[in-house]
Amino acid sequence: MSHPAVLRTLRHATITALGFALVACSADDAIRPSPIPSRGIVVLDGYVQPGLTLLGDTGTSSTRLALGSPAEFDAALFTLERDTVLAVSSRSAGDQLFIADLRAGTVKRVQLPVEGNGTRARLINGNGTARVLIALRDSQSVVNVAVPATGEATITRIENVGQCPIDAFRFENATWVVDANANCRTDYSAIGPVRLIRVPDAGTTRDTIVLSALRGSAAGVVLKGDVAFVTAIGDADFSAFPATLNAPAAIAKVDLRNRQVTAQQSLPSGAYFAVARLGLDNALYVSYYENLTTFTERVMQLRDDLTLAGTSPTSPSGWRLFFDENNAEITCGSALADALGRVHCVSIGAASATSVLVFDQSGKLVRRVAAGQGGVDLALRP
Amino acid sequence: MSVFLLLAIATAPMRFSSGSLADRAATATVAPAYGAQRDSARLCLHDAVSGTPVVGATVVTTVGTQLLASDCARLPVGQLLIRRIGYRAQSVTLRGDLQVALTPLAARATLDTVRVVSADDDDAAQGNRLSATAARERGASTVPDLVSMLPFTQLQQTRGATVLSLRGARREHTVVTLDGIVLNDPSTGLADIGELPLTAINGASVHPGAGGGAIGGVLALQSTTAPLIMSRVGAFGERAAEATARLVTTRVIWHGGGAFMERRNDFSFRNTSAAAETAPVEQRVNNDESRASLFTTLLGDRWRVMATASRIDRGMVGAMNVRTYDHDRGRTDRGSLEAQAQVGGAQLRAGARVFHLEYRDPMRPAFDNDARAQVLHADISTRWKRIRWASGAGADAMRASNGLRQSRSRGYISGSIDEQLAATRVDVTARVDAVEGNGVLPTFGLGASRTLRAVDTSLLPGIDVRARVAQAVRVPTLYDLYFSSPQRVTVRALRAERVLYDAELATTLAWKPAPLSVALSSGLVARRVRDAIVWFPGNFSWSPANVGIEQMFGVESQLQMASGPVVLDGWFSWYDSWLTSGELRIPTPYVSRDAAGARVALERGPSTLSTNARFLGRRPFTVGPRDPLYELPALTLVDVALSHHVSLSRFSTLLSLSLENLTDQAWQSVRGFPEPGRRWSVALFLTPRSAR
Repeated sequence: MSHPAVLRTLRHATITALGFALVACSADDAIRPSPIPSRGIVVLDGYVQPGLTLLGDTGTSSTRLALGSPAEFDAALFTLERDTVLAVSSRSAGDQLFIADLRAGTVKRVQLPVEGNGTRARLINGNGTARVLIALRDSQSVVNVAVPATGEATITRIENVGQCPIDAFRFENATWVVDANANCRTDYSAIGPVRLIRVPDAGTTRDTIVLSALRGSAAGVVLKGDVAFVTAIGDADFSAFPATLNAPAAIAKVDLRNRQVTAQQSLPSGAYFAVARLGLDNALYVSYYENLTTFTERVMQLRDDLTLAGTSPTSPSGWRLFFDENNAEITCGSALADALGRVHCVSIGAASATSVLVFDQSGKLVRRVAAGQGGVDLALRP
Repeated sequence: MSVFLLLAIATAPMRFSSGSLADRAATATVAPAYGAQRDSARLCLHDAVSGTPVVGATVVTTVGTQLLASDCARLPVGQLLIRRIGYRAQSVTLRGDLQVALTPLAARATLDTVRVVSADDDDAAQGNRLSATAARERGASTVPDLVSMLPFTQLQQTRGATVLSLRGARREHTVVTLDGIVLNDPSTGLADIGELPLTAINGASVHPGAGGGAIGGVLALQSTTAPLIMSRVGAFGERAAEATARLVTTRVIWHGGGAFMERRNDFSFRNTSAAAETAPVEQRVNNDESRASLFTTLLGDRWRVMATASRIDRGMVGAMNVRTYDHDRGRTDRGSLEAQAQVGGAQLRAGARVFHLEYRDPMRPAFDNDARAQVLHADISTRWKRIRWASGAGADAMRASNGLRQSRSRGYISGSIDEQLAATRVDVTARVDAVEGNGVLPTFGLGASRTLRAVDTSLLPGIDVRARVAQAVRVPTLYDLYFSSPQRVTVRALRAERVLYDAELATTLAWKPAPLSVALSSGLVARRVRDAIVWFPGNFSWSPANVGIEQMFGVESQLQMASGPVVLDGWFSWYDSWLTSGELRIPTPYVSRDAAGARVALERGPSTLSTNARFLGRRPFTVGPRDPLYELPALTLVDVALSHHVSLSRFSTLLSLSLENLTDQAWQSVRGFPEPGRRWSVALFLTPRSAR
């Protein structure tokens, strides 16, 4: 066989082999999309395959709305305002704002200032040009992001708002900033108590409200009328083995109109990583880890005066007790209740498989439904 | 640049003078005695696995014992005993010129426990190996270049490190050995195959399938004692120089060398992770790296000592859309010392390896980290009647500046029988590992091969069939153990991964009607792993865990053709590899279902024109269910090389021009980490003519 003939044969053989490869490649068992429910449960799957899992009030069918790859999305919390979901990726995932329209099933991304290191976004105006408020931990600033329906977003900053601004909201012509008061740019060690900083739209006078019982590198706020409930995760030192808890998670109630702390309450000894959510029943639900040894998730239901609601079975330490179909105690996190007082929460199983659990007022499991992988937060669409 | 030039200049004279010494020593020991006699013949030795020449063998003849400074020598005809540390001794009868393939002991010692049809025994597996010399002629100038030319290999590159996946398994499932010494870091379970310079390597062979601590397979590297000088420049600021030298006395051969490489790696890429609607074109920053290494070997009649040391400095660049790692730096130091000795019929081996990893974050010094790992081991292998025995013990330790501390001891004993039963060759192996904290872990293997029809020059093919079933076990790495609990507080029990079976049924058809030579090998493979150790990321649940069952079914096929100056090697694999956990069915991350490769070389006189094409199917990049949104796209990469030999009075030179990623594909080996597009390199290799 001549050399050109051999080469021709080889070329055909190679192309044929690659053709086989491409044909084999075309088969897959991919997830198929299904219609988005107009109400129900929204779960943020924050890692593995970041996205939103949308569940109806009944049944087991779910809809996925992808938010990006793990290299682009790492949010552990999200904000739901009607049909809009807001979430922010940190500096480790590229500092991006994600705006998901649940009705349209679309996601828009906005580049935030590089190494701003945001955690949570708040929608302050959803009509026309959306305006979003984001505290940036590493730049000691809060940004106001104007996102038009079409075109580029514009960003304005409020500078020098604490050591580690971690959450922000609007109240009466002022921007209020939750300052974790920690070294968020370096090792997240606590500097001092969490603070609430009021930045008025007019004038230069700022008010700082010190929340003396609250410490930790992360904090968040729940608004209820003219009251802000601020939770701090607690101050833990993970740099040595075993880890130590310097201050447990705590919650404070702030009268925004009078700019006063009206109540503060530490969670049970050992409590860490507390996050509060407002249920559709108007009660506060605080999810946290019981301790730094087992990281067992617990849920506490509080009244507005930060005392225990005491309406359901609770442990001596005050957390709600939940039971499965066999009456065995089970635990979960990211909890809040619907208007009927039924607690909805997230349970992580093997391989980060996520389930939403629903308990009646007596703490008995009434629903368990799969919700993707890596669930970190949950909200309810009424 | 100055370091590069200094190294090249400094090593060149040493290399030249040592070549002369080697020449004189070879002449002194061999040529005067038998060169002119009519009752002598030429004996040449090569490695049965890599196919590369073997120097430093001791030959016992009727008139005495000689240490051969070259791979070829003229010796008196008659009965000879050939010994070489690291190889199985062979007795041959020299009647005329003879080529002898020496079987490396070390490679078998690693593979023997379950690999019953090893490459050195199986003609069908010849395409699984490649010598460094052949790789250089096809444009390779680094070990990853060489490995990318081997069949069934899927390379993953991130932050300068290159790791390997075989047979649909995860990257930590591949064991990389140098002369049988495992190079994987006990902390992470990974081995960076770019760690060693190509000049230190004689060749490499790839062995897909479970065995010897490997679940996916083994990449076996063989060291060399050949002197060589290499200088290379390439795109994105790449500059490299490598040099090795050899000194020969009547009792000892010394081989040593050094290598230095640096590159900026500041290539342009399209940032597909950006928030912008149109992916902007950006330039990679903090992606540079430099590598320096030293290696030396002392080789005697019945002993060998080998030492290596390397340092890699690199920018620890993050994913393409993340700027927070733009100042982070990493430094990795590695060192090893290995001694082997032949005592009676036993081969003894002992060694130590050290790793040191520094991570520096100038913007956040609180996150600076230092980690150190040490490995000690000692082995003995011998033969008792029909059984080959091997046993060994060792210890691994690791500590890091964040308080991380882990250590454990381990030991093993293995036995294997290799018998020819009528026309069928059968291997049976058994191995028992004992690892502190993991108990006793027995594994077994069984294989058989049979030639149904011998290959001849007719049009009817020679037919070989072989079957193999094997087990393997992989204990958790030291990092696995440390992080196997949320926030490193309580250590959750983590069991060893167990390959319940790794099965293979294959056949080879071979034709050799002159001048054509064709071999087509195809096989079905399957594997089932219990207690797979998988890391699932999260906030407070970031940790490895034993998760479900991992399974793989697949097809492997390989075609080799040679006709005159044209050589073609092609391969294709299809693997369906997935993890089952509860309701979840998760494809193994970064394993493409289908992959293919082809190497074509056209040799004309002193020139070789070659191409190496690789096809990778879609690769999932998360530990979630299969979803096209979370898969990297399929791609085909084509590399082309042109090399040309020039013979000078004292040197053989090889000039090689390579174009990698000829079609300028924008692609990612690991999600978020872009690879360079089209790039070039020019390499010059100098080999003293006395080296052969």
